[in-house]
Amino acid sequence: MALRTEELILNMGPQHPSTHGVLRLIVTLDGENITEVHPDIGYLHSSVEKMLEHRTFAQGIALTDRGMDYLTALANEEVYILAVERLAGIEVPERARYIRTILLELQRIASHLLWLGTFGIDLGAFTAFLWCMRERERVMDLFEAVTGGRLHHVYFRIGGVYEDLPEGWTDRVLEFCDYFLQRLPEYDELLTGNPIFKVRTQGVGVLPREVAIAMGASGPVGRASGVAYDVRKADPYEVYDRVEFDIPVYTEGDCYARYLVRMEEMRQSVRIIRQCIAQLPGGSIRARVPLSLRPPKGEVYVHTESPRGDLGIYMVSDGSEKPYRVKIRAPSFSNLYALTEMMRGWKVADVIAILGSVDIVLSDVDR
Amino acid sequence: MSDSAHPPAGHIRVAPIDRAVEILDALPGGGVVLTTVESLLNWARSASIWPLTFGLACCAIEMMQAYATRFDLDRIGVIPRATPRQADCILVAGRCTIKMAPIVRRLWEQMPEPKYVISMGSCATCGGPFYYDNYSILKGIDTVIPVDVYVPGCPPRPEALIEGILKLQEKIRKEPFLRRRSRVGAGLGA
Amino acid sequence: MQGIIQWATQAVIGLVVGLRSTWRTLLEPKITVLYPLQRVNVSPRWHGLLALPIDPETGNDRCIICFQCERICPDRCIHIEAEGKGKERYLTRFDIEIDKCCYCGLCVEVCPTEAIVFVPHYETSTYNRARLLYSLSDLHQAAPKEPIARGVVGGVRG
Repeated sequence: MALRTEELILNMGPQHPSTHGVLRLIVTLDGENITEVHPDIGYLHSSVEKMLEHRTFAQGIALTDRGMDYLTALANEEVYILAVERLAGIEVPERARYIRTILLELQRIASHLLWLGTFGIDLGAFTAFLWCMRERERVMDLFEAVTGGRLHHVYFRIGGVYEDLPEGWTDRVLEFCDYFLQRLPEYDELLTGNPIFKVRTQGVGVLPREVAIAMGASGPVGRASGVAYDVRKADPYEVYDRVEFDIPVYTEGDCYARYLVRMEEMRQSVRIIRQCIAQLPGGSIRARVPLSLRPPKGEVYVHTESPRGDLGIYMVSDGSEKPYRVKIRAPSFSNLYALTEMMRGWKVADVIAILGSVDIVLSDVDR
Repeated sequence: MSDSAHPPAGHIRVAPIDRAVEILDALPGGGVVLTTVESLLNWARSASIWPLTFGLACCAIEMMQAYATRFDLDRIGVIPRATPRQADCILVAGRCTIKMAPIVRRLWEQMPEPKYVISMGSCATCGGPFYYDNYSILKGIDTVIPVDVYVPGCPPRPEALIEGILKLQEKIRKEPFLRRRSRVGAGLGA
Repeated sequence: MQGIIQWATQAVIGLVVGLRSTWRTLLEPKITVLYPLQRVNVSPRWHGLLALPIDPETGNDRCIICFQCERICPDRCIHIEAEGKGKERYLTRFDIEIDKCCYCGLCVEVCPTEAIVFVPHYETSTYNRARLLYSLSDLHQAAPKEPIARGVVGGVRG
């Protein structure tokens, strides 16, 4: 006689210490195995696309910091400002472009460090969290010295940046780069070679290449599945075409590969920062742009590589001082739906490991 | 509240400790003893505020920084708990949407008394940058749950959050905790 | 069996390696800031509170009532009212709803006379939300006692 079984529906979130925000996962379980995952989003919908229609182009910068992915405030400013600059045809001074690139890469390091720390907590390695936060505080200090903000900066302006770098800042950044490269092997010691960590991540949550492409997964999630696509190489913006760096690509597509991709990306970021500082030209930092900028009628799509993936913005201008329509293509949104494919068939204990490895930010998903 | 609105005395089970507080308060000189005991209890409570790990948006990152190495909230007895049943305090860190508001309210209701609320950041305080032209963000968390301390900032520095927690500690130290408890138990209200 | 032994050895080695790092970190100098007793040196550019510093020459603030900050504010949290005409115009109201403010610094950027500045001060928590409406006198008080030199905001500030 066959044993009678029935499916169990498990709710995770919105308040859950490991959902990285306010995500609700409706997990259908067959015993211990996951048959289906349905993410319920919208708990952090801040209607930023609508709000941007009511802000002038200059005011919108302050909003993109907060309304979009809050861990990568500068990457949001960057994509918004690139869109406005391409609409209005503004030339940005060389120095400003280098400064932007340095700050964007520092932001990538800060974002990945936070991911590594929280991923460590999810898998029971609390030490990783404390160490990552220690390094992250140094990046925050560097940001604070330049932009005046720790998390939200409002530093990029249409046609340049707000203020010039303070004196001696580049030396501090180089010092941080040396320090950071010394610290990274410690994480390798702690996590990369750790058998407990490996057992929980290797081969878990595999996302095949075809599914990754079909789901639109980008960034480290896509690159871990063998999609060698990085906007910095494919469609260079700022000065990424003048610096040398490699894109780490793995074909395994599991949590461990996603971890390795991000670790390698941090090393590459340090490489980019060093080259940018060596090439940093002098001169002006901001083009003359009227405060009430009225770009000509038209539309533009710009995409950049944020730490989560391919972050795009579609902007329509009707010739007034406010955008007519703004649509944000959020990388976390696509990656979240790739999650449903990754989780199918795994045990309920792996939900946290898989969710942690994708690195979604709910503010980016819901906007 | 008039006397007729009271339920009959037999319907309320007054806990023995509340009865003892009532008797002690009525005794000559009992007030002094009660106040001393209260201040001891309040000192202990204020030094071990256990908040719920409840991050909504950007401010949660600064909250994590405050828990982490550099600012180390464990120093002042703040240890994050993952469930509302074990928490004394809820740190509302970030903007709260209308979809999320019932859940915040339920989490607050699930916490045992006495409980406190710290509203961290502009968005939790009044909607902040999302106040105008917005259809989804709640205009301040105090429309849903009562707030004890407001920490402005967008986001506040970890030090500012620690200052808010110190303010909450001050508030807890001054509270007539046992007397209020006994009055609530007797149906007289706080 | 062989596999299990190998796996267990690996796990033990991993633990030892991890603990070695832990011990090393334990002996390193500490980076924790004991906040109420010690303070972090906040950067001079830090977006703290907004303030209207007093100009020692005139004994008043430098606001010329051009309403630029009110217009640029993305959160519409600055409210200015003035009375009088021409050169005799004076402020009757300069309120900042500091709870709505997002500390973006656009008002500081557009101010033509550097009347409104950021001060590196962040301890503003309160029990009452009504106290977060900063009026003109609050903003004067929030400013540092020593005057801020002209030409330092938004340019060569260090």
